[in-house]
Amino acid sequence: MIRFQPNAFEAVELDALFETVADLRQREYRFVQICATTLEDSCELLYTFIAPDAIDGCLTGLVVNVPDGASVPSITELYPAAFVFENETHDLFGIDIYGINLDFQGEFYKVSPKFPMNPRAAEQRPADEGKEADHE
Amino acid sequence: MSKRTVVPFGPQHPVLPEPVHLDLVLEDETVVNAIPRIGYVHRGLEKLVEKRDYTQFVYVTERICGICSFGHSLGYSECVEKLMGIEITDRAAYLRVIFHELSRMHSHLLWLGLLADGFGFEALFMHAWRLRETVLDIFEEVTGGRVIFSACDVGGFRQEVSNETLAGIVAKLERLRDEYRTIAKTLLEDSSVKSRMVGVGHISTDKALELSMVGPFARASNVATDERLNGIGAYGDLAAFEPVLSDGGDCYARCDVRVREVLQSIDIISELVDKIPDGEVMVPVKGSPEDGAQAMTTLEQPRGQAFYYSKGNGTKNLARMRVRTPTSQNIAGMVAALSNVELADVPMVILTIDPCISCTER
Repeated sequence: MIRFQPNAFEAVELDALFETVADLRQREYRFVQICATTLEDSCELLYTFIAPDAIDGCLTGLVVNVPDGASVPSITELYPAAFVFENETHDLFGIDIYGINLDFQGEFYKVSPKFPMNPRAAEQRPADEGKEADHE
Repeated sequence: MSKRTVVPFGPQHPVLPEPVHLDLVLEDETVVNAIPRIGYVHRGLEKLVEKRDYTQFVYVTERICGICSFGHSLGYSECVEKLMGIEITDRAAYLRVIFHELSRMHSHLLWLGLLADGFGFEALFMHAWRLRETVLDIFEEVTGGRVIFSACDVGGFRQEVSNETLAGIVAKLERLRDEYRTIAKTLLEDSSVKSRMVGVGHISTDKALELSMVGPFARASNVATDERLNGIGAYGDLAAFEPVLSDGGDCYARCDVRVREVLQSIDIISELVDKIPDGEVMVPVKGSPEDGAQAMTTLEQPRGQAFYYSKGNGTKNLARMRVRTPTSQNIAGMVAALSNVELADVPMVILTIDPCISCTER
């Protein structure tokens, strides 16, 4: 009996993220999700995909370190369904993602504390004024 | 060019048991765009890993959703077991799949009732929910709970279920199968049902792949995606497994797929009850996940692929726990399915997609 689903994690530089995801798209990998994690002095993004011929369901995870204040390119041009996760990543973690196909400008989740999953971002960008002003 | 109008749909609406908002952009009576908005009841459950240790957190995952409660505890448990290298017993793996398939039946029967209620087919609604009671009664008889029953745990299955009890469950499901076939036939062969659903909210196979759709929503567009194909756990011991597919891509095809999946679940349960090995159902769980260890798993929930990720930090509390639910993944597909439908068909399209906002707002 197979107990565990195989995983393959790969570290990717932020600059190479879009190119790497474009390569997976070209190879018909299916998009699964984006997960952010708050680290001590930065954030980590995990992009998950599954190969079209993965008979054992092997999940491919691209791990990207995002320094505070850095902007991340959207992958919605390649995988339109990612807009949900990219808006969530911004609203809960305060990570700027540019080029989202459906950008809610920080209003996707109606959370009362700003960036509740990343207190550091909440301190650094208390009002996220730029985005809100643009939206208005 | 027709005048464009924006009609707000939700967050409170008779076909929406949970809050989601859609701005429907109309040209005359036709929807040309739909802009979704969620986040009304976001609960921040993922952040609770900071307060609850990994054994306590299984109770939190069960409460992500009242419909796929067991599936969430199963997905979380499998993810933490992979993280810590815990191998559960074969009997526990079988019991997990049996109860997961029962949960799928309960979810699909609940959906069938809501769908029937949505287009005014009240008799069908009551029959669907009457049959669903059979499944809930099984849960109650075996575990003491009807919806959230805390049967799955890191390390296995919390309680032994005797072979006699399992045989009794199969006997009940066989009786249910005959009744279910009758009401399913009523739904799928009814001319008024067909007139509301055939050709409505169509998504092609290519579009379903482009939008990364999952679950019955994708399978109704002939995309053979089903995490049970991976053969993890007792699914790997099935003699054969083929996902239920349809090439219709419309509301009717989505109903057809879900209706047939209930019968498929009964077949899976019957086969596994025949094959279930004897043995313990729990293994001892000790220690904490290693610092930096991480694991990802997926699971076929009633609405499609759910994703679980956990990361250890050397303590009893996980550094990160992630649940990506099938409805989150299907929001883009839902928006696409709503394009170019009549305003009056919007409730039908949403009902056949069966979004679970409670899951999404974990």
